[in-house]
Amino acid sequence: MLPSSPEIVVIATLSSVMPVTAMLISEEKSIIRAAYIYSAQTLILVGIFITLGFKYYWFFIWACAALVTKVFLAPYVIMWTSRRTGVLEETERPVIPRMASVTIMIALVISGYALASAYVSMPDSIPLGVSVSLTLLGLFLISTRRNLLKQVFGFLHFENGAHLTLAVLAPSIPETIDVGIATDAVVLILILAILARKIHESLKTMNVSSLTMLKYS
Amino acid sequence: MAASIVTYFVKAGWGRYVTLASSIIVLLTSLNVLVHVSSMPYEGIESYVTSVKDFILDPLATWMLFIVSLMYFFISLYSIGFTGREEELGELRGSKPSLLHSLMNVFVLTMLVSSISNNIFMLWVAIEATTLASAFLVALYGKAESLEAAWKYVVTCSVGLVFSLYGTSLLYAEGGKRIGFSAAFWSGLMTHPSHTGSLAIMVALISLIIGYGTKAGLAPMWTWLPDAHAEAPAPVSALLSGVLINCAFIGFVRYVSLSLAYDVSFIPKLSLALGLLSMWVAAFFIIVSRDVKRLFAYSTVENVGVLATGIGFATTTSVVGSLYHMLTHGLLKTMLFLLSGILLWIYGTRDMRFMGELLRLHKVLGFIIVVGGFALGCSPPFATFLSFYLIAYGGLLAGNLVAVILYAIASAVVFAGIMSRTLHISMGKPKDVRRSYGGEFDRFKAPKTCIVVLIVIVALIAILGVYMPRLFHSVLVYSAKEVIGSGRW
Repeated sequence: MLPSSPEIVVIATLSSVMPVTAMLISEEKSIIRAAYIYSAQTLILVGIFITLGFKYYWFFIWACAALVTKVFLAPYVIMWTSRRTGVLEETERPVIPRMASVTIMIALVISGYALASAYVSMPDSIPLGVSVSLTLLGLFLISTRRNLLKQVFGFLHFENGAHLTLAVLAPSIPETIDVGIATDAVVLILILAILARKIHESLKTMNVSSLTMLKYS
Repeated sequence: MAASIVTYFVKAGWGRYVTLASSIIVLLTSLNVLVHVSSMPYEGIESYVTSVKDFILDPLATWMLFIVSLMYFFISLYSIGFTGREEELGELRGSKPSLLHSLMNVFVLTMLVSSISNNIFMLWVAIEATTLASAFLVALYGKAESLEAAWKYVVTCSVGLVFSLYGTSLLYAEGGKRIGFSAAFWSGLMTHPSHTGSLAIMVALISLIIGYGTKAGLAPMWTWLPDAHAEAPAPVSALLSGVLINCAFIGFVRYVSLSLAYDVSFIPKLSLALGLLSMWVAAFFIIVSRDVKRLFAYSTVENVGVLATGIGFATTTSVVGSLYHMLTHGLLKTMLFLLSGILLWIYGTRDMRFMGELLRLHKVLGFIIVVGGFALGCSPPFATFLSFYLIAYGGLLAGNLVAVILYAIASAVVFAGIMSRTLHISMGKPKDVRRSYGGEFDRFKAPKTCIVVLIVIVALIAILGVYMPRLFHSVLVYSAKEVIGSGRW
């Protein structure tokens, strides 16, 4: 758990911007622009780690790992896949219309804060609430978007949410474990991007609805 | 790790033997550990922590280590013939045979690490790494179906494992309030059980059960399993079904055991419910299945259900049965998936309607598939019957008659479904002989090493049904003691 300190106010302020970036990514049609927004979202996460670094020195290592893997590498992989396949826009119609989608996302963010408030008090509940919200938004993105690359963004939300949860709930875990978790996250994104590219090569589409070849019998 | 690097850079022919050598070293090491642990009296979980605190060689970890290494050995031996034959048939071309061996070694490495992790975060990293290491193995054939299976596999398992990461973090945060950094280790969490009634602990344990249950293939989070197991090459299917499922299940078992230590009685009941649900869901799909690899995959879901039911009964007998079933089912499913590779060479299809007369074509294989069917239906005298019986008996000892009846009926349905298919393959008439083997017996050239592996595994399953070695008995009893806690012993 994070100790009460002036740093937590900075962390709470920074983290409260993250769900807004997540909602922007969800509604952005351009894959490239969405990747840039994700980069900005992760830069905020790096800012949170640097702030924590003044209290616990090992967070500087977390910040460096997140900067390399999430601010630069993961968005680069998405942009590379998007350009390589020529799928620059999300052309597939989402399962839920835009207005309903935005309303549900706001409700998910409020639910995230409510869940966190039941566990810890203010201002600690803000970063924890953000982390829960990001996870819920990631789940929402994966289940309502038909574009494979848009689903990958759902996983990126998961990763940032999980990373923030670790920082809030388990700030004292060894940096080797954090690097392990960050590496897993980046490898996961890399694998999903390669699979998306191969599926596009094979089926000439990034629409998840076309993945219906495997039958239950 | 060394084997995986070497196998990628040397010729595929050499890679097979490097993998086999690596598997022999791992098997001998794990046997040595098994003998050592079984010969010592059980002295509590803390006595098994290694000098590097992140690892543990307690009875549960030792048992898992043995299962992983035994299957690794059999699959490596089979792969010698398999990759050669697949290259001849043009199914695996270019760098794919090398990639198969290299990734198989990485995959096994992640499973070995997950088996002996004392650090709960390291367990998560290792289990997530198993998904990443095996994703390209599932997609190795590069067909649209295998790419779809790989995508679904990675997405579903990774979503499930996000819940595990949340649960792990919450558990650590709660435990850390009392025992500090020790809360990051099994040894620390199990020796300081004082969280009775905590809502946060309850939420953490439910998240962990969902996460590791997804990875183990328990219903209702099982949908990835038939796709991935059916579309992967035979040795990979065997690794997924015979080994990976057990690795994820060990994480599941550890958290059920933690819930028993913390008096969260809801979790074993949840395990029991998920187990029975898995058995019934799988029983239905086994009856309607036409694809031989999907049939075996549905049977894996059913057997994961058997494992979870045994743990859910939470008695010494049922837990011993469940842990023994990890080995017996692991061996059996390894054998059947390896056999499915040969069936695909013979018939050129996975559709069982176009299979048949195997006993006439090849007596040994025709016999093996019938024996496999009986063993898969948990029929005596095979080892699966012993583990199945121990679980049912443990359930009766727990006074849970309704659950035992549901368990027995589901197994009976599965037995009927499996036997009708295996008998058809062995002795039935194919729907269309021309579309089936079509008289082209030259297509049927199963390498001798592949057949020998199947025979040895069948012999082992038969022997372990009537004789349980003393060292297995000791390790299983110690493991059960660890799972259900000394207080309930």
